[in-house]
Amino acid sequence: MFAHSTTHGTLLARIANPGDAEAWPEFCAKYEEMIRAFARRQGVMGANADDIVQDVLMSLSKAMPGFEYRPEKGKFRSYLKTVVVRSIYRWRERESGEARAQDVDEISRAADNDEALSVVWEEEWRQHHLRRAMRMIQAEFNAADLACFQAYVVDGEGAAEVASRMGMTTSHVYDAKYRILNRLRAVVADQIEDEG
Amino acid sequence: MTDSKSLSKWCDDDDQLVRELRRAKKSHAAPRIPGYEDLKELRRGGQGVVFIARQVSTSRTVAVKLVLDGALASREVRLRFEREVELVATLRHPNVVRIYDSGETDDGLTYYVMEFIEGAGLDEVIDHLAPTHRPADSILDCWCDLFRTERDVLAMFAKICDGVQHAHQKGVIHRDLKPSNVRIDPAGEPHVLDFGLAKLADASPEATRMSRTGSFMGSLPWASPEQADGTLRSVDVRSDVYSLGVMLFQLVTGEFPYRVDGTLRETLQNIQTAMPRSPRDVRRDINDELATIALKCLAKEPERRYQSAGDLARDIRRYLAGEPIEAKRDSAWYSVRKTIDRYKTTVRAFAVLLICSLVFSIAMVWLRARAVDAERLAAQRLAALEIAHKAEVETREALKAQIAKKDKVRAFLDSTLRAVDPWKHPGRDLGPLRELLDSAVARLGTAFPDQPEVEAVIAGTLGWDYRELGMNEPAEKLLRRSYELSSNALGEEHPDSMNALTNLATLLTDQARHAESEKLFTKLYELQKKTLGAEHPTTLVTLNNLALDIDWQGRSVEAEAMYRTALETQTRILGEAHRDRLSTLNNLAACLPALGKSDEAQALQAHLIEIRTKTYGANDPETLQARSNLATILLQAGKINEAETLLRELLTSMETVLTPNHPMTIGAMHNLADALSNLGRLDEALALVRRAFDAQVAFSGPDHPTTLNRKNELACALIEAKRFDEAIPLATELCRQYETLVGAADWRTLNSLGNLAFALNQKGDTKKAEELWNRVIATADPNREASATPAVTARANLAALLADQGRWAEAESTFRAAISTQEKLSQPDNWRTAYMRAGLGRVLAETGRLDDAEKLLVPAYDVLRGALGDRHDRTQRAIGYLIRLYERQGNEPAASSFRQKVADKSPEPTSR
Repeated sequence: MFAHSTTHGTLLARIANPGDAEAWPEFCAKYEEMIRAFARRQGVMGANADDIVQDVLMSLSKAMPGFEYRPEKGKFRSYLKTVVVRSIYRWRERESGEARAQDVDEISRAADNDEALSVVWEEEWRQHHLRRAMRMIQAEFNAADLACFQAYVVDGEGAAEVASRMGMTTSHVYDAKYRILNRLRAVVADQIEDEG
Repeated sequence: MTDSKSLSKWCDDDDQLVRELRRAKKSHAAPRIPGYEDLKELRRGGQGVVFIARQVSTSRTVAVKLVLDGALASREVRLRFEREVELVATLRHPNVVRIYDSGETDDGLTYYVMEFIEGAGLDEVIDHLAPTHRPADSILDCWCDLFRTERDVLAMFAKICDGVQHAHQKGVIHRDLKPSNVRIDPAGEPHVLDFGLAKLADASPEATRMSRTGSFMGSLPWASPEQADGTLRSVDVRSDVYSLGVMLFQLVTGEFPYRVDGTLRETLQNIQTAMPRSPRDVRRDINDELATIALKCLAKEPERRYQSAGDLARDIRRYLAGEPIEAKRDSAWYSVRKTIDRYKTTVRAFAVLLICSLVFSIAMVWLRARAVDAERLAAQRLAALEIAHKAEVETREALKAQIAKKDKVRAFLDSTLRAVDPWKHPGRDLGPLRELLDSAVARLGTAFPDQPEVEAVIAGTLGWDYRELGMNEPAEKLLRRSYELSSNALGEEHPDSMNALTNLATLLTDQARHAESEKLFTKLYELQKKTLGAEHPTTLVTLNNLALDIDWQGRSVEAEAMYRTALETQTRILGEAHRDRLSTLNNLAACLPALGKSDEAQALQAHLIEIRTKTYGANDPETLQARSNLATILLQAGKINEAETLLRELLTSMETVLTPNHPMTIGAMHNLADALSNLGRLDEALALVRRAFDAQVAFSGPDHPTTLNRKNELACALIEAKRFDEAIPLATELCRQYETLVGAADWRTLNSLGNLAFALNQKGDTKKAEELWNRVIATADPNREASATPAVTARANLAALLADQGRWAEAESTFRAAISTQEKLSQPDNWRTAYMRAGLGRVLAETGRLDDAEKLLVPAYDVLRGALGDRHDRTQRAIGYLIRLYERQGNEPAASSFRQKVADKSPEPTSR
């Protein structure tokens, strides 16, 4: 799987390389859900959220081949945020009928200074990585362990209750929590590393 | 901005990671939904959160269900959800919770608004009714009064069935019926909720699978065997009947029909294999008939359950009214066969069970004969059952190991092979799958030396996979082997053997080898009549298939009688709207036009459409198919304008409902193209065939067998429109593709080669055409019916070419060879045979054998005129031959009378 690859470099580097044909669809598949979720929290609903996703991916596809790749952590995350925020601003302008040309730097500054916006963005970003990581580990654990993790860790049920319902020992429940959390942590760290 | 170190910190800290995992849930706390106020959380479930709220416009209290975050992540799933909610919103029944509204919250979560039912869930009521658990609770105590007697409980249960039946008639399957999905209002009326929504979970992305696992576990005790099996395709209304059966069992006994409190694996296994105990095993005072009703719902095979929730409700009410119920206990033979089936066993185990069944059967016969004292009879019957049960338990342990092995094999095959089903993954490269299949087949011969019944199952699965790939030869070999192994090891009457026989016969039908498949279906029909009974739904399905084979061989009279027999029984046993019955009805309607009963055919098909629309909805794919079939019947009846209107409507609805590239949409394009081509509008027809071809490429990729069939149709349409320059390269490419896919000797390769030759001949390249037709003739296997047809066509065309060139001797022998094969393939009055006879008659006339020529030409002309009409191209040619013959005979009056039949070139007023 690509997230563990060391030879390919990060996804970002690969996208900046026009010769890597597979990088782009991979990128779209990964970030689409996150962009849509963020757009919705900014009040962009339904088909409009789909338009935002489209718009962002289009902007990135144009910008990326020339994007100067510097391997600093958090660089891509803030770049993506700028593009998404700009797209939402543009959409709002269209909706309200007033067209105010804003350049990227201005939006970046505005976005960075908007505390509430940044909190939402960070939340969505963390959720994005967790979702992907959860997806990734589905195949690595059996259904019973995953169900037990869901009930005990996510739903917050008691360990004893979960154990008796699922026909396991409580130590099995703790063990499942420990193993799945560990794995999640490793996968998320890899993903962030890869993102650049 | 956060610095790079702290970025990954949140995921390093367990507590923070857990908080993050839980955050998505918390954020649902109070969604803002325009038009609704005062949202208060009622309960949380696997799929979402339910709030109570006030609808501002009406001031009524409603319940709002918020679907779990991520469950509807993709646009496609969201659209499907919206469609499903729209469908469910059309349900209007006092026992079904109404849906008023649906939409998206500010946070982008999907919600729907439904009727709020005060009261409690049936699950709480059941808990409260249980004698062991009775805390004081005013509202629940009031239900204890309402449901004091079994009669009250059953009357309420019958109403639940009514609600479910109403939904079924509207085409909605619940899929997740359980007590917590039934609300009981203070008057004791039940209301079923969450119809059809479980289906969405199956379509949602990986991300939500974990939460689904949780919710699935919550519903598991009520899941049917086919749901527990994970084979979603087989879930239908009868799966709901099963869940209702579990609820009925719970309501009358307070317990489950088998253990559901074990581990996930154990519970799944119990649902799929454990014979449910009788409610009387829990409570001896439960009436025998009531127990029979519950057990009928809980049959492992859907066809042995009530075929609808309505039937179940009726039987409950019959029981309440003291009338005889319709459910019958399983016969002794069936029970034993079932046991064998479940444990897939060795011959030795068979012996044990057969002895036991013998004892049991004798006991039953004896008991029935002496039905004197009811109490004694019951005691004796119980004793007989106990003997059977004891033997079963003893056998079970010995067989466990073997079952496990077989299950593993099945699981392996299903996961590796089914996952690459080309229909599910159109456009996929089939090469790797083929290699996988080939290597599996290579291993198969040696992997199970002592377990022929295991090898049989695997050979059957692999054979079916080859069939899906359109690779009929290896498919046939494997399916034959599966049948042989199974019938030798388990006997012809074993369900596995009959199943293998069904698959083999179906494969032959696919290839238009109707004479061969007829033999197999006849055998199967006899076996099923003997083992299952003549009126068993499965037997009737076979009868329908058999009739279809007979019909396709042109024996429509025979077929009609069989269809009518099947139809009559299915109407009686399964009810008017059952899918099996509708399938027979459809085939009967298709068969009638050939018997000159086109009016009845149209009436039947219209009746079929009406029932389908009522039961499954106007947009159900099979309803659309039924309308498409009506169009075909109209086409055959010459009502071409009517058919065209219908087909255009149909095409529009299919493109919207099913998507433009759906196989059925493509089928409709073809039918419309046929209609247009019959109306002489060849250009429009050709455009549609092109569109159909493009859609098929988009749907299943350029090399899929179905795509190649479409390409062949396009080549034919081009030839018909006389666009040979385009047709020839297309047909050439097609021949090569078929050859690669199915081999040079396959009938499809030969057929396309023949078409290519035809186009070349029309274009004037007679030399190349002759060469290709000779190749078809030389390659075709004379012993295979399927490849015989293209060979005959090639011979007939070649003979006509030879005759045109004045090579009379060669033409004569070629015609004779074609005719002798064609006579074996079809009825004597077939127009194809007649056309070949006319060709031969021409040759004889030209070579001076005038009397012999007349003996061939006159009857051939009669057949052609009868089948195709006087103005048809082929009939016209026969007329030409006759004129020439009579001129040579010097019979001027006869020649002149035929000259008057020569059509002018103006278009026909109505064509056929």
